[in-house]
Amino acid sequence: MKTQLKKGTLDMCVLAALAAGDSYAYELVSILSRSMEVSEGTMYPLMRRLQAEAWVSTYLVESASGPSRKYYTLTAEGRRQLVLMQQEWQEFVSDVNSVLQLAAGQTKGEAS
Amino acid sequence: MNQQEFISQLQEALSRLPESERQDIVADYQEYFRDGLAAGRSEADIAAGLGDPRQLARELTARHHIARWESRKSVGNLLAVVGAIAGLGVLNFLLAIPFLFYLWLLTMAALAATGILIGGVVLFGTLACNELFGWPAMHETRDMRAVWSAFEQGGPVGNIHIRGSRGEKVDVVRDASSGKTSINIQSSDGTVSLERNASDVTGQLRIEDKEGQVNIDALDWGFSRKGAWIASVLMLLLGGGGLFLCYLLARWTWRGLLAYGRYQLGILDKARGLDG
Repeated sequence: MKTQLKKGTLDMCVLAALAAGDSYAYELVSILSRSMEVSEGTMYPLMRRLQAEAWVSTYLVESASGPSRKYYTLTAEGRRQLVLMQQEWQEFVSDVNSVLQLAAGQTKGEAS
Repeated sequence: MNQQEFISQLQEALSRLPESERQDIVADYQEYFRDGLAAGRSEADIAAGLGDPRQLARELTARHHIARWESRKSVGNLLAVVGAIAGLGVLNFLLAIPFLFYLWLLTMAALAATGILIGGVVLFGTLACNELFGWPAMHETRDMRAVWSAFEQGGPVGNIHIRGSRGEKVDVVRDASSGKTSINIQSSDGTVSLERNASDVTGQLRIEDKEGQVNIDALDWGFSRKGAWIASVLMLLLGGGGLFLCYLLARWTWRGLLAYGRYQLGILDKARGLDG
């Protein structure tokens, strides 16, 4: 259950991280792995998928030391998508919570 | 596995992608290694985190081919998708062979339908052009036909009756009201009768002698304009319908294939999520 949920919401988490500011692959993995378990191998195929959907675009930034670095930034479409995903997520969470609370209330009622 | 091994394996497994795309992907992973090393991790640790480069390459290749097929639908791109999905290790070779055979059949059917359609268009166009401009001229050259038209245009009005001394009879009878014409030849050896309806298309031939009888109904009087019109319309319908059917089948096939490919990629995503 947890894995499937994670797969569905990983797109949203990446978009949310990018909404806070443009970022590069390694940094994105670090941001996400602060609060959740992320497989590093997932990141590039995922970023390519988001690019194919035109939710993110990339640009290169020259660095003082060594080759340039690829930054990802949200497109307008990506922002719209993020808002939609967040709404759906909130609805889903509140639905699940109310079911859990109802079930918990019933259990308590039976216990007393 | 160190960085060099990882990158060279990835590069080798990506050999089917265009150079620019391969370089882009490789640069992405090199960047990742640089960042990981800067964060104080070992090359082996980073490589282990990224997973099997060959599996990554297979997935990236499949995604690339599917995207290409979606932007431009050519037979080559479709075959690349089939190959790439087979490369994911799920649609195996044994399954791919009947699928390719099916694609071949579909192609042949589409070609046949196109041929019939083109034939119909040419015939229809020729007839319409002849109807409107009298060009190209149409010669109704079959012998039987020539006999009839000569008879109709130049022959005497009324009926002909010839009687021979040994009972031979030749009768040519034309019924003006129904447009029916018939020729009857009778001798001691047998009879030949030829009958033609006003419809201009079919007739009847009867040959009878001591040994037996031959009856041909719906005798084709050779080239008939009406018949050609019907044939051209039938060819247009058959060719057009066949081509449309092939188009529908092809659409269903590639949609199904894409859905299948995405489903397989989804399984990969899930599998990677599990070990992550």
